[in-house]
Amino acid sequence: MTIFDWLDRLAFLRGEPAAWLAALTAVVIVVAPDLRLALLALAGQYLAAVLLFVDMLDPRLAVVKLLVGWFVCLILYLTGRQTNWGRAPEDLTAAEAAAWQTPKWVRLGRYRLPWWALRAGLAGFTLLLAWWLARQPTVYLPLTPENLAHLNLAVYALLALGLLQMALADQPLAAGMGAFLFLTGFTLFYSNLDQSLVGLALLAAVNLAVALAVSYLAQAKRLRLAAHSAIE
Amino acid sequence: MLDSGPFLLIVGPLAGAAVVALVVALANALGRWLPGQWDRARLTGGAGAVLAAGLWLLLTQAAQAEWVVYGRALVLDETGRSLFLGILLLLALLYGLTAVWPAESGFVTASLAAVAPLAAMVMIRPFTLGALFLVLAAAALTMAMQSGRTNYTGAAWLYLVVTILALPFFLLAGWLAEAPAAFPWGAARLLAAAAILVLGGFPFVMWVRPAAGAMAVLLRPFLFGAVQLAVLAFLFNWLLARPAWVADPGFQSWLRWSGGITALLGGLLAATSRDWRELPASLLLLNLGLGILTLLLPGTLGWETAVSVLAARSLSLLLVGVGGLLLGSQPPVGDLAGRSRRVGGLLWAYGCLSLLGLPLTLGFDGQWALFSALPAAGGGTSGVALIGLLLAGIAGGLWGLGRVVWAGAALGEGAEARS
Repeated sequence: MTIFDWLDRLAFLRGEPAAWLAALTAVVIVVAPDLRLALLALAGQYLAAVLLFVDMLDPRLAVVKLLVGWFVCLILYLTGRQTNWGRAPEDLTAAEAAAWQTPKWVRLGRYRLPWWALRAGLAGFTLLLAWWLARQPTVYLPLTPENLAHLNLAVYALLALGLLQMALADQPLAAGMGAFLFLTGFTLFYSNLDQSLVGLALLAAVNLAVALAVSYLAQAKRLRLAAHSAIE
Repeated sequence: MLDSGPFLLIVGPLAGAAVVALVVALANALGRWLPGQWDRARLTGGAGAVLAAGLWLLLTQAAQAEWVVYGRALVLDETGRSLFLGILLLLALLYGLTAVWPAESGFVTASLAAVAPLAAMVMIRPFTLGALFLVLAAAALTMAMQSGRTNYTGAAWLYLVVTILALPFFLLAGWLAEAPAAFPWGAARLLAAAAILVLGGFPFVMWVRPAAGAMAVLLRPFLFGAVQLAVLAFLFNWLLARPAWVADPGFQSWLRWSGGITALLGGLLAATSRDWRELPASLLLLNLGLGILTLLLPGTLGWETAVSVLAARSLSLLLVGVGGLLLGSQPPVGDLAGRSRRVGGLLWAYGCLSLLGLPLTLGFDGQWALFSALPAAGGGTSGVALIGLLLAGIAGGLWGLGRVVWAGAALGEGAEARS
């Protein structure tokens, strides 16, 4: 099986379905209560993004992007395993563990909302906003050919949901996934403008370096938990 | 290859960081047989200092100024060489100081590795690709900020985020410079937005004070001085190649207001500061505003002023940091027992005054040059308003410094009276 055979098999996903798949996986990353589910969605999002990249890049180069993305997922997966997916150590008391956990409820004036519902609401609103923006001729992505109009949805959704995830997440790994959404969204737009090999290689290096930095921060946060536990 | 400046600046720091890591690993393995004072942290600082000094020496001898990799040229001109000679010297000094204060040594390996992408950022042609190296450097610096600190990770993360957010602006500005096209913002404005993000200008100042508070004090002169100077060198590379961008009204007004408000905000935060340990971060914010404003000055005048402001900032932060380390948990005035604490108090206060750019301090030269050149850089009424903002910021900083010193002195007198 060659790359081209695989692309033929996935032809039904090319174009608009891939843009929706990228946007929906981004929503899953924002809403997912468990980092493992979010990481799975990130891996799926890289696959969807590659189906969009092949419309602009040589398929062999687009597959390199997929490999880099999945390598990022691998780095995050190993870090997640080492840091127990951001959960507090088991030897903390219930009160101490509660201080490290994301609050389950959010108070909005007189009302109390479940945190996941607020996230889902914000993610849904952001997706709708991206979809609406993508249909506006006044904010059509500059220099994007008309036959690639679906890129508008993917780019706006990934950029906006990436920013939302970076703002909402309290764990380095989760926030890092927001950074990767943002980077993928921008790369989808930029690949249409600049297709130089050096730029492509450096963008791959940037993704891997950011993954390492995110992993480092996740480990540091875990160390903080361990240190806190040891002091107690 | 060792006589090639670009090769040395790319490969040298990475190899140096690997050597430091190996030395530390070896020291860990041989820990039982090493004398008591050869602890891991001191060894890290010592190895880092020797390597940074060695790279400095090799760079002074380097003859070749160009290195072509995969068709892209890395060019080390005289400005770049002087810049990195200064950065390596500063690093050697900072690493040497970590041998005295070993608890500060966590940042050595990652900060040495960060020099390579920083150098690539300044040297690569076309300039656009430099932005990607800036993110690589930011990733290494994020690790340096967090190294040895098992506390709050938010500041290091925010620093990485603002650099990632700046990347699209840089890349689009570079692309527009090469292929002018209809775009909502012009290239100059995109570059201004990117500069505000990476230089910690208003409204993206949220990472500066937490970062300055959370990181190792000896890393501050590097991150907020040397690294920002390298970023400014990168920005001036673009502006010197395209002087029309500096004259763009959007570029001028965005940077003018961002720099002015950053300085004012720093002054206001300093004026309301109650803790002597928090004050330098606010004064630093004020000084960051001045750094942004140097981009408004045309041609080499802007670069020379930036060097003056940023070199003084590095040294001021070094003095504040060393002073703070000598003081320990004691405030900088009042009942200072012991010579080292008195010296620490003096260094801390002088460093703070220097961050404010007052006369007879290190920061005065750059600040004076900036104040003299800003009215001529245009702006009319808004130029006068900008000077007003800066003076208000400096007055706020001075008020805050005076209040902290006064409170410390009162505390000391109280303690003396009680004894």
